[in-house]
Amino acid sequence: MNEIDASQNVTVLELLDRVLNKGVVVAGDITISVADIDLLYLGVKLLLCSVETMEQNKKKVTIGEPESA
Amino acid sequence: MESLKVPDKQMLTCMYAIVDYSAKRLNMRPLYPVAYKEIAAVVETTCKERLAFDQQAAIEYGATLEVLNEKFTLLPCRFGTFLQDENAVLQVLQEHYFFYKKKLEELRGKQEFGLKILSEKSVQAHNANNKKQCKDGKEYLLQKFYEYRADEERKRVNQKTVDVIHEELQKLSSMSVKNAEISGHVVFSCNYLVEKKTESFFCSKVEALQGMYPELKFLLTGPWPPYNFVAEN
Repeated sequence: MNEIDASQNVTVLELLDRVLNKGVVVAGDITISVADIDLLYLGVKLLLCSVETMEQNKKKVTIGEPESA
Repeated sequence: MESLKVPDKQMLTCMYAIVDYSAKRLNMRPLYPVAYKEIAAVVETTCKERLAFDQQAAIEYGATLEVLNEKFTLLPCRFGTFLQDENAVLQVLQEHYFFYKKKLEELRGKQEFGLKILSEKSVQAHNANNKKQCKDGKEYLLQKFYEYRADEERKRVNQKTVDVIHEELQKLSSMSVKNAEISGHVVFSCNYLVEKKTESFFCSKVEALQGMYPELKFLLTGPWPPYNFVAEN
């Protein structure tokens, strides 16, 4: 994995963390749960594990220009 | 959230964001606004069977919010916010109008940056220690003790350093939210709300701080829509 790949992975994880765990929550009777959201959360946890692995392998993730996903 | 069994053919309204709709108009089909006074919810109506709930869908949702963020002051909604129809959306806007309005005013002209700081020393020390072979149990326990002591010292020094860094960055931001849950080699994680006009200064400051503390690894991401600054509490 080169620097750009690693940097992009971090950005994607940061995006998923925000989209899935942050933001306005519209709660109440009118909100509908329509799908297996739990599966999605599981997927994100697995991805976070790979970030740990990435760190352990000491892949360089450079600071630089802020990125948008 | 209440779980309802929804037929595959049923149409649902997905809420992307709540925006300040007083000045600009939305032109991003298939998205459209459901307006209430000077705020609006940006929504999309779609059939349940066409919805995707995988990583790609979440990434695309985030990308849409970023495009919206370029044009509007917005409160991003969490991925997977579905309502029955436009009337339900309108009801949400009416019920929370004052809160949304106040938040939009607070966030006008500001964006979020995320900063994570990793300690490279911890990684190196950990790897180096793993290579040592112990002759007996006593040596092993002693090694563990020294590792523990060194680790505690590193944590103490890191904490002092990140406190200084955080103080510097707080001066350049309107608000900040620290992430309490940090693990592994991440010694600090925080989100900063930064005015658009001072964004480049903020980034330069982070870069300068990275230069001052080369033993730490800085991960700066952004600008993001203000995901971490819209909580009701």
